[in-house]
Amino acid sequence: MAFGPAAMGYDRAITIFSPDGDLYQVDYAFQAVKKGWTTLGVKTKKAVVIAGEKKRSMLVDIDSVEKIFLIDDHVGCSFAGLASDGRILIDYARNSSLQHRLVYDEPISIDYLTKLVADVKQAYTQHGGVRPFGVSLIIGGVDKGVPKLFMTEPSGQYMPYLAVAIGENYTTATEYLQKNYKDDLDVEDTIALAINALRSSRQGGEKIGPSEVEIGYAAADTGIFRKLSLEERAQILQKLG
Amino acid sequence: METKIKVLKGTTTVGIVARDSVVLAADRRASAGFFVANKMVRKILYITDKIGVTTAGSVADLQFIYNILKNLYHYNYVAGNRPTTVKALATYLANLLSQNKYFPYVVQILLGGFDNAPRLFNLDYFGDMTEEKYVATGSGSPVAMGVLEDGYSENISGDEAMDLAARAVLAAIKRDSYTGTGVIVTKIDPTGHVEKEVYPNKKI
Repeated sequence: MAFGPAAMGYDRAITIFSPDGDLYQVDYAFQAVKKGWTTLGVKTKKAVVIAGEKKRSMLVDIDSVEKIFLIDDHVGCSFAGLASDGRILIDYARNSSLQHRLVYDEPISIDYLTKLVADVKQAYTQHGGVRPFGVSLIIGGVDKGVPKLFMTEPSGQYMPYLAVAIGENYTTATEYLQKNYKDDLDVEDTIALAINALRSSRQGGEKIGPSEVEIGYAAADTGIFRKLSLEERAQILQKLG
Repeated sequence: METKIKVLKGTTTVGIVARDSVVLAADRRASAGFFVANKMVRKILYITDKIGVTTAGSVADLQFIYNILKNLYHYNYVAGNRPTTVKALATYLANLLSQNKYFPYVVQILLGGFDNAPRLFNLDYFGDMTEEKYVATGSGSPVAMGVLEDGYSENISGDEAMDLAARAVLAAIKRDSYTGTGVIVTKIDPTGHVEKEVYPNKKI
């Protein structure tokens, strides 16, 4: 390991800025996100959809691997990056939603939930003795009949999106979404757009099987976030060809 | 000891959900035992233009709780967070009271306001919370309740509800010695609130 004047240990303690104004450990956390499975979210007037790719690995039981997570009746979430870090934040989001219902007897707003999670991430870029979370979260849900979509970064930054992709092939998926995004799609077409964006991001246009994708969506009129079953995914993929 | 603490135990407060508004009313007497500690107390306070509370119990506890609710609402409002509905505030308050039930805030509170619809909640110091169409609390409540039972109907108009609430508290003023001076009535609707004061005697 080199300790020359260039490094000066700026990447050792995350609470220290480099002379250029960077927090190296936070930048590295972004790299962890870029290594994650491709995940994306799409929001239209009628629905918000979250779709995530699942990669086959020899003896892993792929159908039991979870990629989309229910947070509350009206919110779902997915992430790219370190899965173990993601789990912790998802647990936090679930608890926050429940607590909000207990304290106020109201479903939590998606904006506020995202802010709570992002606040935790921010804290881990400022305190000593800890490392940042190596995940980006896509949080989607319906808030009083209006679909909402957010993405949080390891730095604690978060933004509302019309469509967003994270993970290893996020650039190709984002390009596809930029080209094909429309906000007046119905629920099924929004799901189709998300799947097609995910497919486009696959190297060499490789076909995607129902086990290799997970989809969650919330329609504006029901306000309920639900995941598509294996059979439903197979059906939709068959329809899309 | 008891007579030295200003406690609004003797009080009459009334709440009515009308067709398109909520009406709150309360008398103006603060009693400390048999002594009238203050003749012109304000027992109706506002968290926002469209959410009001009527207060009965320990003045110190009421002021404390009122400040908590007001802070909560305005922090959430400024930060762009929910909750800002009447039900959310009532639920929060019920939790607060329930958590402190072994060393309670001695309060009886009516929380009334307009968010999407007129809402009225009754809370007591153990954390009990009930939504009501019409309700009376305090030492004069048996008297006031009689008037409400007689005069209330579904679909009552805001102005009729104001008169009914004032009549209920005035009846309590006549028959309950811990209730007195006069009444402040308020009507809360989507545009805000309007108050009216009613006094049985002019000389106070």
